[in-house]
Amino acid sequence: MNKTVTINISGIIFNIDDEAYDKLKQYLSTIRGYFNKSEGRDEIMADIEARIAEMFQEKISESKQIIIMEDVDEVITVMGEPEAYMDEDASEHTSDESSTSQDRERKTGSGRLYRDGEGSVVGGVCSGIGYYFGFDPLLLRILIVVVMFFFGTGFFLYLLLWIIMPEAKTTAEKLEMKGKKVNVNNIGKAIEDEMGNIKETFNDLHNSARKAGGGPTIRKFSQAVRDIIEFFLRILALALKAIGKVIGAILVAFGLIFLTLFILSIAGYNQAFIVAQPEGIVTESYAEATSLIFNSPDQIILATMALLLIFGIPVAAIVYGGLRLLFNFRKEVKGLGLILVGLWFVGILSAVVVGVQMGSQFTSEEVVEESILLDSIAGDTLVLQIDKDLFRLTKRQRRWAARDFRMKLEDDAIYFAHVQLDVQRSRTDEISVTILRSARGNSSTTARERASEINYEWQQQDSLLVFKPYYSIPRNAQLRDQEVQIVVYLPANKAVKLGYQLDRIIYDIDNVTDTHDSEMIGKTWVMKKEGLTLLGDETEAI
Amino acid sequence: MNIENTKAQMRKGILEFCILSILQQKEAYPSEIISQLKEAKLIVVEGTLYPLLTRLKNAGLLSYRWEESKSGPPRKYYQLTEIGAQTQTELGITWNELQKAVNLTRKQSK
Repeated sequence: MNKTVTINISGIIFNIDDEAYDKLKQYLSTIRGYFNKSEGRDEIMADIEARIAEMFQEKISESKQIIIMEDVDEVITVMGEPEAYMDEDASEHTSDESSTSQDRERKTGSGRLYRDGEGSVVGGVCSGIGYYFGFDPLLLRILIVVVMFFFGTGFFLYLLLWIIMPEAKTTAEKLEMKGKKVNVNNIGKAIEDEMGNIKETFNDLHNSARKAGGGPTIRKFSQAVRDIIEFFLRILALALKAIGKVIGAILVAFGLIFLTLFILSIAGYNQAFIVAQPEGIVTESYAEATSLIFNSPDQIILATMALLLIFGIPVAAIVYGGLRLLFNFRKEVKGLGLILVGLWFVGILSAVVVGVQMGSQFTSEEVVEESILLDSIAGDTLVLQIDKDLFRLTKRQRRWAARDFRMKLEDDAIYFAHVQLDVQRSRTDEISVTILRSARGNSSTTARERASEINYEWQQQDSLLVFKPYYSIPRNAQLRDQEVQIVVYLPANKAVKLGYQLDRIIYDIDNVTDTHDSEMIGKTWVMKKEGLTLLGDETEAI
Repeated sequence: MNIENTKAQMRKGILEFCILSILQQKEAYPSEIISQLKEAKLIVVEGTLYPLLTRLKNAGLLSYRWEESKSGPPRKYYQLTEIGAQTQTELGITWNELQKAVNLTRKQSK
């Protein structure tokens, strides 16, 4: 029992045996390849098909309803072997190739390993192999690049293949290059044919070696090597195809998920966007984040575009590659690669432009200093602590107290938990507190203005200094490295006790014993000539 | 030198002329042209003929009309155009000149 194919030649339906169909198809496509469009190729093909249909019809009858291999052979004999179709111009090519056409003949009439001169990235090796087996060379190229980078061996293999594989120049060769696809049905037959071909080539090699000749022998030899390689490559091909599909699926999935999340976060649908600040990492929505950083809507648009292009295009390319691997289509849009790379560079350029603009926003730094002399205190010890009010809990404040926040966007202002408190020796006899508020801007005026907008609260309750562990800037302000530093100037022989939770805001307070900040808490320190000394450790008499 | 090649070249050269001559008598479709050529002992296959016919048509020497056929797809009936007829006459003159020249050369070398 045999399989048949239903075909339509010149508008007439025929049932044709599967193998006969292959042969007919190959015949027609070989002929077709000999003409180019300007010669009226379509018309000629129509005429030929009409004639074939005529002949086929004579062969069909009640008792014989199928076109079989003999019929196709007869038609080919009558119509002429493909070579007969060639034009005067084309025949020039073939006359010096006719001696080699015999050894190029293959039993299956299917594709040969040629280098693809047109679709090549480097030398057309991968493309040619891809055509030969009917899969997208993309996977092969990736494989080769990976192997070359990590093992270093791919390079010579590629070079060897490049030398051995001839480039498909004439239309006939190009056709042969794109020959039969390998699929499970004909793989067995294909392997048989390959074995036959290898044997044949070796015989030719043997014969021509006997006839003695240097040139042709080399060619025959490379032919033989090529046949062997083709044989093994066929087996490899099926494996690669399977792997290709899996990788394709993974790439597509990954790419699509990434792109979706990315675009969603930009469109503001969730808090997925991450802003990295010196104060730490905070998640906010994209819209809020950009308004904090950028000055103007134009900048935001430019920056968003840059972001989309720089990340979106590589991911889109990955998705495209994945789809190609998965679905095995080879539509190469010419110049698409170039356009995409160009767009990507536009993205980079935009990013640079925005970066430069933003850079100028940070050039000047100004500090607004405010020194407050403290009212005299009872006793010698100053106690510093965090505002306990923080712990009289409103719902909102509970949130703040509970976690160590870095930056918080509230309705009224933006809060930063990055106060830095230091204790230093006073140059006078008085205790004073200096609040230093600093900010950056594109000019010293802007910077100074910005610094003055920083709001910080603290208070003195006799010998108790209560500090809030956060400062704030107006809600609509831009983030420009606003900082607050507090210095408590302590005269000699006065002491300071570092109270509860003060480690939240102290920052490397110099002391004689080089004690770490967190160790200093809860203890009292006396300001001596050398520096802060732990109470009780004093060795010198006052 | 490849003798088969030369033979093919010789035949190709006059094939056009023969086709034009056949059509000069009466219009015909490709299969008919082939059988007439066969009768004249000039063996040619469809494969050689179709591209040639199309080329002559594109060059304006031939035209065709469709005719429905009972036993198959419609057929193209080719005929000479004005230019085609003129060309055929001109080629006829050239052929006679060539014939004389070749025969003279052969006599000389005898």
